[in-house]
Amino acid sequence: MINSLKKHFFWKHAFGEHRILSGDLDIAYINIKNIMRFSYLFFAVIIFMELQNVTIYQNINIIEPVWVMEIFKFFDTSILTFVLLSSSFIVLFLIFFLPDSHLLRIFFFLFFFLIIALNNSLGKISHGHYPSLLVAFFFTLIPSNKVDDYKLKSILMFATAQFFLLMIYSLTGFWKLFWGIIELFTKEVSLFSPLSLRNTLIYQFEVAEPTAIGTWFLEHYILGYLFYLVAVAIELFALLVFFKANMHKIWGVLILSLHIGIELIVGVSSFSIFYTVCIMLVISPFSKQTSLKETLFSFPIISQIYWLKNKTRG
Amino acid sequence: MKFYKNFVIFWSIIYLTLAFTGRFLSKKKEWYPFFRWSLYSKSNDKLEVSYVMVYKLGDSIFEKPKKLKTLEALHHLSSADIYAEYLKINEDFENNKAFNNLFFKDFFKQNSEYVMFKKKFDLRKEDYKEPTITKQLEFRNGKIKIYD
Repeated sequence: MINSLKKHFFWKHAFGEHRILSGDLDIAYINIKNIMRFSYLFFAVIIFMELQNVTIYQNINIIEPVWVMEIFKFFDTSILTFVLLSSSFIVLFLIFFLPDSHLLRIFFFLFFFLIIALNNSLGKISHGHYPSLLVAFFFTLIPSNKVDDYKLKSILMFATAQFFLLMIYSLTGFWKLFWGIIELFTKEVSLFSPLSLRNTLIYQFEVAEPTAIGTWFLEHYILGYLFYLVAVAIELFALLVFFKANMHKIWGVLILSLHIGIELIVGVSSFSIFYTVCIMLVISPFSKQTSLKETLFSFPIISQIYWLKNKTRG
Repeated sequence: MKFYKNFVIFWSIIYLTLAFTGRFLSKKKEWYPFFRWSLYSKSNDKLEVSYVMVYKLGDSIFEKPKKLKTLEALHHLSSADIYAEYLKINEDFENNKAFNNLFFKDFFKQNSEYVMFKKKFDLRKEDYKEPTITKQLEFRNGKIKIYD
């Protein structure tokens, strides 16, 4: 089975020195099972924090339903929230006792999907829980241990979840670069102007409360701009570390630092994204420590230059 | 096994297709939960921000007009959510020359009175000037008046 993966046009890149599928896959599988168990505790915290909405939504109607909420739009929002949250808790408690149940994982995803859909049907859209929802979705595709080759299938699906989490960050970086290039020719301020972060902060502080550190960066915007470029690089190159086992923890920590910076400077935060990065990357089941030199040569761009140099020599 | 091996490619195509097309084809600019993750991707060289001053909410008259975003205890929307409503209203003005915002119609009962203003900043320079302020919309005596 592994041999067929080594020939697969995508997964063949996961084999080789310090790559995600080149380590001990039995240990990786055990790690995945542990991470999944821990994840459902985290999902329970998310659902717990949603409980306040049962009160908040008392006088709020579903005014702009997302497609899945069309059938629920005539229900009382508060009661619907209560039913969905209570059902999620029942499923989660059952998962705590029956962690290998595939069916319970599917049920949890469905309730979680509906809870976020309901939150996004009240005239506003919040993307804070989307990465967690994505992870819950991929966990429904991890098979039970009654299925053939369940270990390898679980590993592939967990790695696919990591791929999509990294893709989210690369997309945010891609759009910044894309619009940066367009605006370089169409506007006076673009990603390539030191005023870009300052103007984003001015915009943000007009629509939300100013942050203490963000206000300081309005005055010291050149320094802020340098941080901004580093942040865009972390986002843009996220997907390039996917196959590299020795980069998962490092990039996880860099993304966490990015979120800390965003919270302190811009004032935008989501605890569920932070937690999702912790469980998917910081404690990645494929994570591997290498020497300082090997780690440095695994960084995006540096590794590409190194590879090109070796190829030219060869 | 084929399904597990190829799912990453299959799902990438589905995800990216729905995320990108949702921007143009969906009324909410995304097909839940497929989002294109373009938040904060554009730079601003000018800034236009709307805000609403509330004079009367239902039968309650405020001694001094209050900014809508300060009434969070009543509407339960964050500043960012309120801003998103203003964006929707401005888009409606521009495309349809109309005001159809369901949240506003739901929140401001018949006897309410409020005025929506727009602030404009020029951010091309290091020292940007004070904003210019214009009136956009007025709701009094149950009637909406839209300003050019």
